[in-house]
Amino acid sequence: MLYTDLKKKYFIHKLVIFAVLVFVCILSITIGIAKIDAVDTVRILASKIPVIGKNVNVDNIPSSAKAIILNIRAPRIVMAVFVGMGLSLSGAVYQGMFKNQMADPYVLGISSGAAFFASIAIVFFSGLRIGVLGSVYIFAFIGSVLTTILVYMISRTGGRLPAATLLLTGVAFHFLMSAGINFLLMFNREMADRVVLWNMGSFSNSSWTSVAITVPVVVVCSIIIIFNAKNLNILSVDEPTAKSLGVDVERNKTMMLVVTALIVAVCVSSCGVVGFVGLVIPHITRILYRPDHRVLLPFSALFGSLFLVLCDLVARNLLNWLRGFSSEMPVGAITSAFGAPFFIWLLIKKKRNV
Amino acid sequence: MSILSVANVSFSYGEYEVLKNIDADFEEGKLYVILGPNGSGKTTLLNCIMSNLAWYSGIIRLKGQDVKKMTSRERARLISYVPQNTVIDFEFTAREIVLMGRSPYLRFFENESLEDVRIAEECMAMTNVLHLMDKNIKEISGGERQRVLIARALCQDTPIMVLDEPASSLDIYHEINVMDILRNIVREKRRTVICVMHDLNTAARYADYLYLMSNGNIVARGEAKEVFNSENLEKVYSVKSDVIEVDGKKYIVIDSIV
Repeated sequence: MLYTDLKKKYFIHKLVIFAVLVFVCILSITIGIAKIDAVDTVRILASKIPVIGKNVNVDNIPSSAKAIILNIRAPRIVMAVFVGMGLSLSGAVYQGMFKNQMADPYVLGISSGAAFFASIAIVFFSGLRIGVLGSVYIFAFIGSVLTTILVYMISRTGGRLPAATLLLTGVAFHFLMSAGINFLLMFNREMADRVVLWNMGSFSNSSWTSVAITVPVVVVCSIIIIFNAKNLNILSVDEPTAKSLGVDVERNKTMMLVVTALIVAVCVSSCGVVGFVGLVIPHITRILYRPDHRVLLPFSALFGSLFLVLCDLVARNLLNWLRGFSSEMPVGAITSAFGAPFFIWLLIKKKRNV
Repeated sequence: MSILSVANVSFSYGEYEVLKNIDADFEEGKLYVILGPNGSGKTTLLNCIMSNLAWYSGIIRLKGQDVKKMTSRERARLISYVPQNTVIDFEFTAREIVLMGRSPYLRFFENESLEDVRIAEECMAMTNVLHLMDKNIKEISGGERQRVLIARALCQDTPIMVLDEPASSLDIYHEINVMDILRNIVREKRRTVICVMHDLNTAARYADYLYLMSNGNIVARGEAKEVFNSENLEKVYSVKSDVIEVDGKKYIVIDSIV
């Protein structure tokens, strides 16, 4: 089937998945350790919708419930939606650009690079600000750009990017950067509780302030990535051919590396290192749909959001459901529990192909 | 009038000079073969022609215009390329791959039209891969994949097509098949086809004009009967050989290395 035919068919799919995403978000906001009635939750949310909101009476709902829904759960779910979208798009871009189905910001060490620099900012430069941006965001961006460039330069041999070298370099950087984070934060006792957050990722610190920085960056970068879909198709086939087809390869790659670095930086700054989203989601999307980036990218974005909202739901409630504990798990533990076995399965499959 | 001219082109990697003052002309409607031992500079010359290597000295002109002054899209409408490595990592269909050849003609937000699809399918018919159009590119044979990529280059609708060892990894049947297709493209569509090759006998059989390279120089040029003789082959490849003629065609028989 041709893309022009697929476009109409897949439009319905996108709508359905989007509807499911909205439903899951609402479901997720009603479930939590603080027991808040589902009907009340919906009423609290409805009261914030313009026009209809005026007709919804929320006076008899305790203000603590309103605060939990609107200021604790809502921002973290919004965050999960956009971080999921951003990370899986970044993964899709890396996989296409590096022609390697195992590339993603986590495996390539880029997330940890951003996190390491973010923790430098926390420990040494916490007061520094440029405009609205705190030092954490700026350092995370520098970290993700630097790691991308280093991993790319080191694994590039004779104009090519062998899969094995790329992955090894990425994993080595991941460990190096994680070690750096551990040193920095452990030696600053008051920061020690943040170590888990940075290594495993969590949405528990999400606020409307962090949403206000993360969402615009992820949205703008995602649009740039999706607009570049046709070029990514050609790049994912062969670089010399891409050049001969009129794609300005170096410029295109640089642009993609900058926007993905931006995405990774804001995601990591707001919720730490969440692994494997960018690996699993584009891969599954490619199996379910097509490798054509015009199809792959929008679906990856939707599935990424859906996946991370679900993982966050599990991370918040699993200990409560199983043990009655009122504490939550890092979301990265959940995504890794899905992602790492998937990564191993990919390696085995790849081995069989050789 | 030559459609592509290479004038006084030199290229070096650091101290090491890979191309030394190369002059070569390519005319419309001819099949050119560039021959030479490993490291003789064939692929570097190809990369300069394709503007993959930009820091050469000298001038390469496409239709009289300096290629360095063209945008990559302008170039993409004049010269197409079939790489040596035909392996593709993602599961595109053969037709999707061929359709990528239309991209130099599409605007930023434009998707392929039915006319583009018609052109792609016509090209696929010409290289005998139309029946594979919905097949996964990873699941077809090397010879079929080579023909799909030639269809893509054809679909790019450029006066010049450049191929890097189009037949080196194919068995004899597919090699002849691919070369017949290329000759057909030259004869029917008046395209200029430039191949880098290793097989002397295939080159002798198909080339309208040959460039024989050694150590960054073109040491012999012309039709097969002018280029292939025992002296040239000994000088370039260090082999003792006999060049025999059967039914007016030249065949090279290698006796031993020097």
